[in-house]
Amino acid sequence: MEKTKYEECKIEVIVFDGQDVIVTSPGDCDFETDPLSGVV
Amino acid sequence: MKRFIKAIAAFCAMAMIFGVFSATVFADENEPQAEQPVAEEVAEEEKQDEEAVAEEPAVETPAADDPATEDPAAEESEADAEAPAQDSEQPVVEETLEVADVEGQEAVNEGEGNEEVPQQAIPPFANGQITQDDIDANGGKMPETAGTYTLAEDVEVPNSAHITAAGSSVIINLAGNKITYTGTENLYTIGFVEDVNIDGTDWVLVHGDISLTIKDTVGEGLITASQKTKGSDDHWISINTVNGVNYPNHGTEANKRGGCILVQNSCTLYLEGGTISGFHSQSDGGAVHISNGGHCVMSGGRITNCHSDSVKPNDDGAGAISCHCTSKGTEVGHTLYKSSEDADPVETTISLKGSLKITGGQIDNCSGRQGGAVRVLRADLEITGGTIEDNTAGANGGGILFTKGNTGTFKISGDPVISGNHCSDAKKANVWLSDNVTVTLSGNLSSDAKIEFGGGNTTKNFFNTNGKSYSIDSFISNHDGYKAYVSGSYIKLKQVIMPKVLGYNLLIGGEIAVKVSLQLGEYNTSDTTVNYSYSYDKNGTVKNIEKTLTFYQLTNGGDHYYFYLPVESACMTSEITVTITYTDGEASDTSSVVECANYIINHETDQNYTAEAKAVAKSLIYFGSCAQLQFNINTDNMPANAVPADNFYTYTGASYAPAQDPDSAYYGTSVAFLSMTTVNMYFKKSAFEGDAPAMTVTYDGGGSQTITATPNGNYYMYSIMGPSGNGFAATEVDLGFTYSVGNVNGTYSIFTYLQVVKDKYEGSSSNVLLKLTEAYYDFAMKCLDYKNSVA
Repeated sequence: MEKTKYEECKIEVIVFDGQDVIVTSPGDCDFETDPLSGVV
Repeated sequence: MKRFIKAIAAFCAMAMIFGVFSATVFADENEPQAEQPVAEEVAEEEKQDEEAVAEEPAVETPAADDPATEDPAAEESEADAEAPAQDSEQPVVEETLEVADVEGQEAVNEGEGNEEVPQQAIPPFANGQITQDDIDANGGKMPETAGTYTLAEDVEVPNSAHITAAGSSVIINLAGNKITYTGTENLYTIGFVEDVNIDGTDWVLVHGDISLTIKDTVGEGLITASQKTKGSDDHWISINTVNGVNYPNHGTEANKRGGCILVQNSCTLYLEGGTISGFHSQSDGGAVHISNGGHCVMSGGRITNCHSDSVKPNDDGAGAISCHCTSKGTEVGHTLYKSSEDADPVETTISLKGSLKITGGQIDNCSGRQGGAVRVLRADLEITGGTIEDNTAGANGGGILFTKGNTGTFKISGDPVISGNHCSDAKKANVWLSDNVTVTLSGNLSSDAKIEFGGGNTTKNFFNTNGKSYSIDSFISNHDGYKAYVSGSYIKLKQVIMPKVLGYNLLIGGEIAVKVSLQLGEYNTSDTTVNYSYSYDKNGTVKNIEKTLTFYQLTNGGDHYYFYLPVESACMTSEITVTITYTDGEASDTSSVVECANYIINHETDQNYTAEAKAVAKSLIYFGSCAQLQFNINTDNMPANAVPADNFYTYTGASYAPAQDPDSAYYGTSVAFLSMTTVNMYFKKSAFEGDAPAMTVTYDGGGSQTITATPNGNYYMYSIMGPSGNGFAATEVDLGFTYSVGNVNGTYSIFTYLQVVKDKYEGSSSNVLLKLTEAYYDFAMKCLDYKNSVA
């Protein structure tokens, strides 16, 4: 039976062993926040 | 049935003529192409006749003997109440029109000849011009008698014109101007089918060989309607069989057809230019209806925004052009026929099969229930060019509905484009072939041709390539999961696994990411690419994130492919679009992190959707909402269920060791809660001499990294990753590390930062940074619970 698009949807908690790169590229976001924002 | 003696005599006398006539006029099913040359031959004969008559002095024109004006049957059939008033004018009209020539010079000469006629009012359409005064003088109608006419100005036309004189050719050149039909019927009916009784015998009499041509030698010419039209009465001919003999059965369609133009039996409409827009029909043919045995050739121009109101929803349709043949047969004898008004009617066999040929032009934005643009019912359709796009069918055939019914033929060649039309059932959106129809290539098909198609039987031969050249890329299946392919002399459909997005996994490690799983089927080739995109709103400015992956950047998961899509913490409500682009098309899907998380939360609890997994999903949503407030991102798109998760983990502020900092170099630390969680430590430049020193980081439990400084105003910033080289995993919230830079050394962890923030802002319950850090702690603890539950 054809799967719905979320049938595979579940949480995976990845524990790095230093070998696998989890994503193909780093996050793309450029939030342009104040670089000192949140500094305590 | 008795035979009228005169008819017999005429029949015998004209037997020779008839023998030639039937071969040229009447459609032969086996040679449908012969119909087109015939129609053109007839039109050519009529044009030659016009030119011949135009050379004669006006006074010799036997207008008074014109049967069209004197035939009471013709006048009785006229629905227009103003028709009798025209009688006195028509002899003069005929006289003038037969010398009129839109080419100019001959009309000027013959105008001089008219001066010899006894003084009377200037007749309408003098010199082949159409003005508003001409329309008004002609009973509010367009020209109805043979001739070539040029629209000299925009006109309003309140009444319907009816070209009834057999053998008439009426040519209308819009010349860039506009006709606004203000009535409720239609602009034109061409052809005349009437019931006559001759010496007690009933006959159906067809006034045939009538043609109407719409052209536009200037451009931007328009025919439009100011109110909703209905069309006019379709006096169709069918077959009535009595004792095994077929006789013509003449009826009038209850609901009107042909919102702009109705074409009756044995007549032809030529659409060569200009735009027809804004017409409706009660029944078939929002713009044009071709009755049983009528013909239309569209070589240019445009039909747009015309609609069949489909009074009988299972039967009616064609927003632009409908074309019929009766269900009872393709021809019938025992019918009287006139090919010119000055000839006696001849008993003949007439064709009841209409034809539509499209060689150019455009049909768009039309609608009808059965056939959005075109519907051909048991008649012949040939398409060699033109574009049919953006039309909509309520039931079948957004572009073209073709129903063969054992009589019709469908041929294509050249470069037609039938694509981008619509129907609620996607497979019926463009060309929909009912019955076991096979379309034949009657000539080579250009690689520019594009035909989207479907049919009730996906296993049949859809196209017979007939030895002609073509490109398989021109044939596009509208059946989901099917693709056109070549099988011998035919184009058929085969089932293929088409690319699609299979699903999503939420990943929480050193990054927050969505794992997107894809089905590529036979398109797992280097031509396939995947694009993802989402956008976010920061302080009212929208920013777009987009990336395209090549096939080689996808990971082969055996029966599927996948890639990871990092999602920033503040972008969990952004709609993510994933598009697979492959050689034969595109497949896309949309989702968001919140949508995935809610799916997990709302799913029935089972081995895959445990309480611990749901807790992570809930805390992720709350954490993301706090990031939105901290960064002022997507604040108009907050998640609906952004509240502290159940069993919210809390912590206290103190108990962290300050750094050894003899030079007071240390300024402070922030943690970037993005898709990667990193620790950013700031030191005053003034505390260091010379170049910025590198920082050494050693992690509890092993591993180290050397970090170079990034200048930032008066500070050096050191960005510390997790031990894996990516961000700190949520489960690494308490992972400590020792840092040393210059004379400063100390220990730190993500949890240290959480405690420092709490110390600073405790009591300020609205402080967004405090809320974010508290949310992250709960999220981290829930991740640890989950990790332990699956260990």
